[in-house]
Amino acid sequence: MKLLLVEDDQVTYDYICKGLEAGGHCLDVAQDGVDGLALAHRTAYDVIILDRMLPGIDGLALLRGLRASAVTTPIIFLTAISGVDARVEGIEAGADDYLIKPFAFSELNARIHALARRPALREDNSSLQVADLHVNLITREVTRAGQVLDLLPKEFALLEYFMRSEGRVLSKTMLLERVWGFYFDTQTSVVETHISRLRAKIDKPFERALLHTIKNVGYALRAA
Amino acid sequence: MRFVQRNRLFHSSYFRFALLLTVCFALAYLISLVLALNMINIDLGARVDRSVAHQVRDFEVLYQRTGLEGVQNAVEVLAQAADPEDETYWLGTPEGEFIAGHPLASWEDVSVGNVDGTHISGEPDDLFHVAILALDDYRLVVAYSYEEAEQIRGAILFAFGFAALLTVILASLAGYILSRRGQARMMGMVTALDDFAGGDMTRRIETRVQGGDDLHDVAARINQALDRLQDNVQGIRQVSTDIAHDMRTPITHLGIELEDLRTGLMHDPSLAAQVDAASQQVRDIASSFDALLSIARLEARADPERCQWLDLADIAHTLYESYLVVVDDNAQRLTLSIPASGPFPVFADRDLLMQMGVNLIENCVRHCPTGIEITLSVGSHHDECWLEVKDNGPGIPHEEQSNIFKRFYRLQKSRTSKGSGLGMAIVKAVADYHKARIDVRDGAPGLAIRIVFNAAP
Repeated sequence: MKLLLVEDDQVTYDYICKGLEAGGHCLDVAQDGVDGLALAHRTAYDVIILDRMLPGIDGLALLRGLRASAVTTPIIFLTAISGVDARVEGIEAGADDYLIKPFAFSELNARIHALARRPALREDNSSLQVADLHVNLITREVTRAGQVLDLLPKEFALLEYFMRSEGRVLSKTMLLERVWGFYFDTQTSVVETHISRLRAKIDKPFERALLHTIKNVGYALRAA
Repeated sequence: MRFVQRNRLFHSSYFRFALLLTVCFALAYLISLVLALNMINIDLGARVDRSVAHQVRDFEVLYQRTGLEGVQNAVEVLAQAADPEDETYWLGTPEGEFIAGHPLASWEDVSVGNVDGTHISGEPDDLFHVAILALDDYRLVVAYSYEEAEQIRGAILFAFGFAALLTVILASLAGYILSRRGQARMMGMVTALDDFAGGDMTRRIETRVQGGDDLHDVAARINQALDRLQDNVQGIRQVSTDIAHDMRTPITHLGIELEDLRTGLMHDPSLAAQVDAASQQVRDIASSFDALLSIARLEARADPERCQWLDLADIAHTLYESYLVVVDDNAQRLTLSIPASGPFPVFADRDLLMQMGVNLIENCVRHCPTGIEITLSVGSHHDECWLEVKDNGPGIPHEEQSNIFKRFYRLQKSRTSKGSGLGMAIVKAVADYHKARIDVRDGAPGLAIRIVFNAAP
C-alpha cells in the first residue's frame, strides 16, 4: 500500500516507519504540517496517518484543509488527547479513524488495513457468508453446515462485524468501539468473553475453526 | 397561557413590591378617607344644628320686639318660601293646635333633637334636627332636614371614592409597567447566566454605565465572577491539553521502547514475560491518567455538551446485553428490570452514561464473590428518572458509603485488587455533570447505587 505519515515526534516516527516498511508498504513521510499538506495534494495515497500536534499547520486544520480540497483518502488521526469530545472533533473534521497514543503498532496496522479496504466492503444487506457459515440479516438467523445456531444479540452483532470484515484482523479496541460503542477503557474482558462464547457456538461443534486469534494483535474471521 | 403569564407576573419581585406599595397606599388612603368623611359628617351635622339654633334665636328676638303677630307673619312668609322637606316651621299651641307654618305629620312624636322625618314631613327617608321654642302660650317648632348634608356627604364620598379607585388603578398600572421594565432587566440577567451555564463562556450580563443602580452593581460583580470562571475553565482546558501532550509523550516513548525490547527478546520467554508486565504497567499508567483528565474536564465542563434526549431503558438494555456473558463468566448473574410504565427520558450524553453504567456493573463484578446476583433496573418517580445497579454481595459498611466515590478510594480489604480506583470517581463526575444525584442504599444484603436524573433539562 502507498501510505503517508505526517508526524513530528522522532521516536513515534521511527517506530511507525519501521513497522510499516517491515510490512512491505511504500511509505512517504513529512515532519510538519506544510510538507504533509503538499505531499497529500501531490500524490494519491491509500491511507494517510496524521498526527494532531504538528509544527506549522495544526493537525486538525490540516485535516479540514485536506477535506475542503476534496481529498477523499482515508485518514487516521493520531493524538495524545483522549476523551469522547476530542475523538468526535477529529471525526467531524473529516478523519475516518482515531488512535490514542500510546498505541501498539499492531493496532495501527489493523486499523490501516481496515480503512484501506473500506470501499470494497460488500453492499449486500440481506446476507453474509464465510465458508459454510451463513448469516441472514433479515431473519437474524445464523446457520453453519445447515445447523441453526442460537446467538445472543451482542454475539450476533459481533459475528456480523467479523463477517463484514472477513479476513481482516480486528483489534480488541476496534471491536469495543465498533460493536459496543464503548470509547473508553473497560476493566473487564468484555471482548474476550464474547469471543470465547461466540467460538463455542460457531466453531467448537464443527471441524474447521473460522474465528482465529492473532496473538497480541486481535482476531480475524476467515476460512483458512 | 394566561395563567402562566399571571404566574410570571407574581414571580417578579418588582411587581410584588409595587403591589405591596399600592396596597399600603390604598389602605392609608382608605383610612384617611374614612376619618375625613367622619369629620365632614360631624361638621355638616353641626352646621344644620347651628342653622336651627340661629333661626330660633332670631325668632326669640322677633318675639320680644313684635310679639306673636310678628312671629306668626314671619312663620307664614318662611313657610311659603320654604320646602317643608327641607325646612319646616310650625307655630301652634302646646296642645298641638296648628296656627301657622307647615303641618306636622305627628305632633306628639316631635321632640327636641334629631327626629325621624315620618313625624315631620311624612317622608321616612329624612332626618330632621328639631328645636322647639316656647313663646309664652305658644310653641314654635323649627326643623331643618339633614338631607342636604347627606347629599353633600354623598357627593364627597363619591368624589373621594372615585379618586381612590383612580389612584389604585393608576398606581397598579404604574407598578405593572415599572415591574415589567425591572423584570426585563432581571430576565436579561437570568438568560445571560443560563447561556453561560449552558456552555457559552463568553456570555456576560449587559450593563449600561448610565443610571447605575444597585442592580447594575450586582450585574457588574456577576460579570467579574464569570470572567474569573471563564479564565479558570480555559486554564484547565489549556493545562489538560498541555498535560495530555507533554506527559503522554514520555509514556508513549516508554511503550515503544518496551515493545522494541520485547521484539529483541522473543527467544527468551521469561524476560519477554517481564517486558510484557512492564508494558501492561505503562498501559495502566496511561489509563489512570486518562481517567483523571476526563474527571477534571467533566468537572470543569471544559468540553462542549453533547447531550440529547435518551431513554434510560435503552441504556440499561444495551448495558445488559453487553455484560450478560461477562457477568456469567464470572459465575455471577445479571438481571434486568424495566417496568412497563416507560419511557424514562433524560437529557444526557450517551457516551458518558454508558461509561457510568459500565463502571457501576464492573464495580459489582470485581468486588462481589461468585454466585452473587446483580440487578440492573430503571424507574421513574414524579419528574425524576433513575438507573440503579444493585448487588446482594457483601455490601459496604455504612460509614464508608460516601467515600467510595473519592478518587483512588479502595476498601481496606481490597487494597491489592486490580482496577484504577477511579471507576466510581468517574461515576460521580458523570452524575455531577448531568446534575443527577447518587443514592447509595444498603441492599440488605449488598449495595444498591441509584443515579437519579431530573427529567427537566
